[in-house]
Amino acid sequence: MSERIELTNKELNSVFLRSYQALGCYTYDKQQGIPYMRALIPALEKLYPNEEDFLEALKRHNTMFNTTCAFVPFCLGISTAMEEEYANDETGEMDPETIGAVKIALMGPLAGIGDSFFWGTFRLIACGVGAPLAAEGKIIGVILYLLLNLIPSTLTRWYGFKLGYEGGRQFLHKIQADGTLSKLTEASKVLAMVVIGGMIPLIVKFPLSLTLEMGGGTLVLQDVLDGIMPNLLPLILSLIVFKYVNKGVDVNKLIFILLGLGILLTVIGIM
Amino acid sequence: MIVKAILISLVAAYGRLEQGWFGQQMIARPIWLSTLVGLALGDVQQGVIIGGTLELIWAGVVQVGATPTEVVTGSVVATSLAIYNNLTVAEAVAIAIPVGLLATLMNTLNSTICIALWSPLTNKAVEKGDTRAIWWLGIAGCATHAAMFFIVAFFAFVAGSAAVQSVIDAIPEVLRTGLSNASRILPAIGIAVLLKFSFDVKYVGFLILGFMLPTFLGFKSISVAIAGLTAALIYFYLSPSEEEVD
Repeated sequence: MSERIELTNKELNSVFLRSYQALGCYTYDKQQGIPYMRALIPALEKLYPNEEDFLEALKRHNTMFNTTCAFVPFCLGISTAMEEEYANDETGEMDPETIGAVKIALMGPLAGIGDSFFWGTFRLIACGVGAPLAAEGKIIGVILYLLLNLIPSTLTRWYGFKLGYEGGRQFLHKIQADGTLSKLTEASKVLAMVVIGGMIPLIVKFPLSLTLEMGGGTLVLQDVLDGIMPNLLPLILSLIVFKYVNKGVDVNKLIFILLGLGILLTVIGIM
Repeated sequence: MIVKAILISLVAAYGRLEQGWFGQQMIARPIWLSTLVGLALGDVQQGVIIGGTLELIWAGVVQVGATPTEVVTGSVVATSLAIYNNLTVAEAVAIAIPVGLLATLMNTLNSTICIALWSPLTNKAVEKGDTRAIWWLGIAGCATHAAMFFIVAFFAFVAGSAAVQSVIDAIPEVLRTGLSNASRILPAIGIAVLLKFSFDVKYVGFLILGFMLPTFLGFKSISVAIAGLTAALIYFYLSPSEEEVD
């Protein structure tokens, strides 16, 4: 039995600090995915001394992720705990796909809760308290505004990360011991599939602007498509892209094809 | 003037970096940025007053007609104009409107750089396991964005608002719409990559279910996730466990 690799505070603190750059490189295809992967690297390097395993872990996290910034540390804590369990899993029971499935399952609800708290609540309270004072020229208004935003955000980040990591570890130990791990893995994939299916209409938009003059009447192409099924084009596009990604076509090529397609369809007046 | 222009442009760049590098803690707002601009121009008191007023304007509490669409450059430029040229806040905000528009165009330009440059380079770095490159790429998008905000604020402060408007007019409309349309179909790639990792034909029904909820029932992301959790619970409790199957 090989020695268990435990993460120390050194790696955990690096992951936590890197969580601050969650919006450091927001891309249309991965949203916060690149900074999320970047944040996990200190932990992954320690957990996978073998180059091949490390590359696999890196690829696993080179995917889309997006949530409210203040909740990113919580998600990173869970991902870190899961990677630690997987790296030390000798029974082969744990499926690495679960790590991604849990990420996908968490991001939507946390974004919904987080946006209403941090954009909707704390920021507005801080504005209501600080802005009128500042408008009168009192610097305490600015200080209050900063504190009312920074304190809840900092507490959520720090305790969120601890809760995600330690809670995640305990939960994983428990389900490994009582034998529900493999069933929970399957259930987490079910959840991920529903969420991914929902993302298609929610984040891919493909509206056509083309109208045709037909014997006195105008035909709006988008209305025809909506008559068949709303969100038909986002669905078809996502499935076609999936087909090529699954075949192993270079994602970078697909990025340029879609970028060109969007511009081309606009230039010729279809989109 | 140049030193002052550099200082206020640094505030604009910092406003963007706050979101990208320092955790988006909701402080890249007029109340804080205008205070910093006041500090840069040597009149903190005036910066605080304008910051508070702008914050109320952006929150919709105070009406001044139209406000710039991009809050970071809009508030930095409006504050510096108000202090430097002795304008009222309402006048300064009106002058800053084209600046906000130019900054919004910069958002599109930077998003294009992120998808056409940083994302492909990251994919290459991941193939090679080049963690040093990923360290840089993970913060690159915000760096280019902050540099653009620096330039916008600097240009607006030195060349004036009319010059800003002529730059905007010089950009072809079709390119702007084209890039924004491309941005709406590009998330399909993110979805495809996620599917590649988790697709299994036996779960395909759940994928269709997920697609149908927003399409036919108007679900949003949080309600889709709750429906997904429900499906997962049903699956967990009703599917036979391995011992029962054996």
